[in-house]
Amino acid sequence: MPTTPAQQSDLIRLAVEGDSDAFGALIHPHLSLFHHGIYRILANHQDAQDALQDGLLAIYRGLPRFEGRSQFSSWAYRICINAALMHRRSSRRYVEKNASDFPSLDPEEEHPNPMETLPEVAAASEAYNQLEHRELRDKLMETLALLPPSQREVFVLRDIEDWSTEDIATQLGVTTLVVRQRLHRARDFICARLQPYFLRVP
Amino acid sequence: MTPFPFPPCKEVHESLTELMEGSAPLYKRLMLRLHLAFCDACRPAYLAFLAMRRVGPKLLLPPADSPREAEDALKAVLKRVEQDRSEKKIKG
Ligand SMILES: [Zn+2]
Repeated sequence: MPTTPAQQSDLIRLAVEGDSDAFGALIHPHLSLFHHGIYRILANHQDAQDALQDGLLAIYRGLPRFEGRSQFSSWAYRICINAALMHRRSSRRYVEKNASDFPSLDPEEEHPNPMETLPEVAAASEAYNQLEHRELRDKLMETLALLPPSQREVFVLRDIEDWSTEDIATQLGVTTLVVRQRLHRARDFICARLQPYFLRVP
Repeated sequence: MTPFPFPPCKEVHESLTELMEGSAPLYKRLMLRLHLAFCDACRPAYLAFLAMRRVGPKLLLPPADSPREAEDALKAVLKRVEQDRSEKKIKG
């Protein structure tokens, strides 16, 4: 059930005091959004579940610092995305030169202007279920899962989440040139498989 | 085969992201656009890149209902929150 801003403020206050039911009610309307954002980056169910758990815990622990400068859902979503990025870095399958250089989970620490708006799940489900898009969506998800993780995360952050190249470079600790190279390889890989579908999209 | 001697198709294809991101120098952008206007081999790839950027976010919107794994993650966190609260009460 969607909550009004006043109800949301009450839930945040109660959750900060340690009320787990209030925290559950605060999170639940956005749970699908948070999970989906993470899953798109990690493309693995178990990893997504683990990262979501980390993200939700970070939201809970960060709640006393939530100042309401952005929408709660935008702030919390950013924490979940950061949890996905951190999960990728801490994964044993991923070898990082600077393993200690983890991105911060708190969006207001690194990004003074986190996203102000997010797709609402109700509106989302309409487009999600449109028959003509379903085939392409499924194929895109399948193709994303085939991409090397370093390319997938850049593609998702740039082309799906609409982060700037500079923000991605800062968050990942790489140059903008590297971001563009990975982005190009990802787009190329996806287009090589799905170009006819994308050219049919009105 | 490109109808233009410069830049060649391979270079154009490799520069599509640079062109979309606006990071290519002005002269290069002009050459790329000129090539794309006339080259039937490169133009579809560029249009597909643009379409992907335009419809990707709509295609990958979240479903209305969260999957089981998301519900399980929330349950685990709520349990942890409860535990933290109980421990605080005991200590307090
Ligand atoms: Zn060409």
